[in-house]
Amino acid sequence: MKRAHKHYLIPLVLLLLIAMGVLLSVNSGYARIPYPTVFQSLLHPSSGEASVVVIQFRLPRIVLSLLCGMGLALAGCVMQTVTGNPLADPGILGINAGAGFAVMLFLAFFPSLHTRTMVFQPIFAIAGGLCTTGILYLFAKRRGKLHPAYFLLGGVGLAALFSSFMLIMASNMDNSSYQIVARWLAGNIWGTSWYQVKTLLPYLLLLVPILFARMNVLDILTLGENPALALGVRVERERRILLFASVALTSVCVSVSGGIGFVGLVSPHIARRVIGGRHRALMPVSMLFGALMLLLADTLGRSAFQPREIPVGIVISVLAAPYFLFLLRKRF
Amino acid sequence: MQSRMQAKGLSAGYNGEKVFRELDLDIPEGKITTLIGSNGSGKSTILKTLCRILSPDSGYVYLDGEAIHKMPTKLVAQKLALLPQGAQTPSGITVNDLVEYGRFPYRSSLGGLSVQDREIVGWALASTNMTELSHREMGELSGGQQQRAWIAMALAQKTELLFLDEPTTYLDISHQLEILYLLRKLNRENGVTVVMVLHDLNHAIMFSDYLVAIKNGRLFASGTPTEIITPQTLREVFDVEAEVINHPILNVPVCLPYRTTEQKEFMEKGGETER
Repeated sequence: MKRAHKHYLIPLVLLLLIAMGVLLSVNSGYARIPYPTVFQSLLHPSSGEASVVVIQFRLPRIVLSLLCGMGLALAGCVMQTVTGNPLADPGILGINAGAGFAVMLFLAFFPSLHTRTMVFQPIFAIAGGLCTTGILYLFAKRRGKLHPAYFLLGGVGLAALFSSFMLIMASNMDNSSYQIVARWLAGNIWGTSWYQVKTLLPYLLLLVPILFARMNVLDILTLGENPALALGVRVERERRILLFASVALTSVCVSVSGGIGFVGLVSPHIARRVIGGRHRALMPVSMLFGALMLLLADTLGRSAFQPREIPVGIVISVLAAPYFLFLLRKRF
Repeated sequence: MQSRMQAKGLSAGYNGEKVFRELDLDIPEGKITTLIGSNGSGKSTILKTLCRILSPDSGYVYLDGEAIHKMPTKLVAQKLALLPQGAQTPSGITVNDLVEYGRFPYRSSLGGLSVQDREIVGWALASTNMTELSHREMGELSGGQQQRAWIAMALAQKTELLFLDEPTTYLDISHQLEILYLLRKLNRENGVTVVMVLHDLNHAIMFSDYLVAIKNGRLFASGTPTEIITPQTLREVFDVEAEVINHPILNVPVCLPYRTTEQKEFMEKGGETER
């Protein structure tokens, strides 16, 4: 297949798959709603039970999983390039856990702010994510330079540390809070209202363009530090901006979706295989893969073992981990 | 001797430890200059500092009379290109992609390639004989082809100065010569000033107009290969005993090292006489 064709065809196919996934997802779940009713309620929202389920529960959940999938995949893609490590992923770097821990602290110590949860929760998540990155940065800085290998190791350690902090804190909480934490750790789209979509959207509209504006720089960064410097990239500065923007992006996504791993790891990998390493194409295609993956996983988790719901993070891990092991075996 | 780049009292190194110090150097314009010296003598560090990859501890590098470490880095990248040692080849890009990266210093953050950019990319590919391979993935190429692609990327920067750090490492002898002849062609036909670090002394002699010999982080001698390559300098710079003869075909000096100076001293003290 010619390269130019590929660049139009692949995103188009992915968009079609996502559209099909949305249709599938709207219809599946605890209450199976026939398609005519679905369309009816989309076109003419009424107070009927089916309409409420579709518009107030299903649809925001679908939109959220699409947005989070895109955000996590894009963040993972950027982190892999910036750290020069194909294993980098918000989950592995401990950003998910750091952001989650901050959200938990917020829930535990600032109950007065609960009424405005949706305003403060992402802010706490970003603070947590950035603190984690700050610690990692200090840890990985050797002789004034960022060592990607230490970055990854430090991240693995921090992820474990924050996860255990969360469990320790949760064990002292009442049962309902514990449930929230357990669900968060498993990775669950727990927000099912438009309110959360509205919370997430401004951050995405701010952060995604910051990352896209640097696609040429990202291309150059894959060459390594010295060639990038030689081509006139201010490497340390660009790395910092890219890292902090992608961490912020991860944190806001995670604040509504829970600690979902692997999306940020696997989507850019698949995207790189089908579309190549140029960020102009790689970033949007990674995002589409991430959206598709999270949507399908959430739909599956919602409908496969009814009446029980499996958290989307678990579904993703079950599906993506073997694929990833296969990749490792094949590539390295 | 015309010169666009000068180093004045230049010292640099890593973590406060100076690798080379008090270097004064003029890079002759339109010529091929090669830095030679033993491992750890500071050649590569000097090259990096000249290309503003490394900041000097003291002293200046002037490019067209301006201090290079104070110039906007994209502007420098329009004037000089560097092929660093052991550049990593990213996965999933074609030769053409890599060469397009060479146009980065001329592009805005979001802009695509202009018609002129594409013409220059085409020229860089043609000059390195890479046109036919331009749509192949970098990962599929041999070491020599990859190195040619990297040189094409540096050429696409369209600079008048080209710096290369050991461009022939890891290549077999025929690919080494191929790269070196390519550099000579660029120098002679396009007037590109070439500055490089080479390990192979005889290649340095064959392809350079000027040699700069570095010893323990200091400039030891500089001049034409005939001036520099003598048994005396080879002993001082590389600690080897060598014969220097004339190349029967190219009429340039050829150095034939036969033992280290340490061995010689050992033997003179009554050690084994075996050569």
